[in-house]
Amino acid sequence: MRTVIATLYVGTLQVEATPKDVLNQAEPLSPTFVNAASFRAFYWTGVKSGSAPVAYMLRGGNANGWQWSQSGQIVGNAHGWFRVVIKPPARYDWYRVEVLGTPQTLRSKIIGAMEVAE
Amino acid sequence: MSAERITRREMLKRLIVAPVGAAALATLPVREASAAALQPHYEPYFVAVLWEGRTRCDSLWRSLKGDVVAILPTVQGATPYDRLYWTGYALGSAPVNVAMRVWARAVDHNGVSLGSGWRLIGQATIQTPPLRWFRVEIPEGHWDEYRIEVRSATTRLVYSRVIASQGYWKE
Repeated sequence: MRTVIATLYVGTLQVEATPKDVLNQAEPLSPTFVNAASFRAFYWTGVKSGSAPVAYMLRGGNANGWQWSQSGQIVGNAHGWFRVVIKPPARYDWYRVEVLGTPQTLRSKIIGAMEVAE
Repeated sequence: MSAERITRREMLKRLIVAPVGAAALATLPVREASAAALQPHYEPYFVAVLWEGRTRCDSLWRSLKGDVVAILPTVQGATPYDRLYWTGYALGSAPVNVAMRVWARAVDHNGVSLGSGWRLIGQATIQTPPLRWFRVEIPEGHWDEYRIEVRSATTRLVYSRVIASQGYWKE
């Protein structure tokens, strides 16, 4: 058994007061990732340009809609690093990673972890 | 300060016979999102050696590799690992008093850091009797790169190894 890591996203997002996902999609039904049922955990790391906190909302679901959500805040100084560990209670096909807050830039990366047999 | 040359075989023998000192990382941020790192039931099933060698510790903050260039990582490619462990010992007959700190960062597809500087994972002071092994656990895994720095008021030679593990979380 070995953990395999996949980089699912690396990018820069302009955070705004209206919620949108890290792919800059404002439509709340649009998933950020699909075909993601093989991942047991996600690690979201990055840097935010401002000192104001950034609120995030994580959702997991499938074609029948969102079935799990978790929210929180990314806090820290301007240009400070952050890390969010996402361990959903079940495996979902779709995930949406949504943020909102005081305008600032979010440069971040999301990796997914899955176990595979050797 | 007295120094001696030893083989890896001798190093292993000392590992077996010497009692182990441990240093807990202070200033480790504890937040709900990182709670997984604090769970007690963790069984490693794969371990990799990321670095092994000798470090000359002096009054400057140096990477285990010996450099004082803060942008350089000590280990890279650490993304798949849940935890890192740093073990080693210092040569010499005087008690060991070595300060250490651990930094981490994430990089993009080209290996460029996502931001300036590093995230401070934690810091500690290793205080052990002479020639006793120490062990430091770095629980915040899955960062791409780590920089492990050491500093000592008295110049010391530290032999050490950084290993990383993947494991099962019993949740």
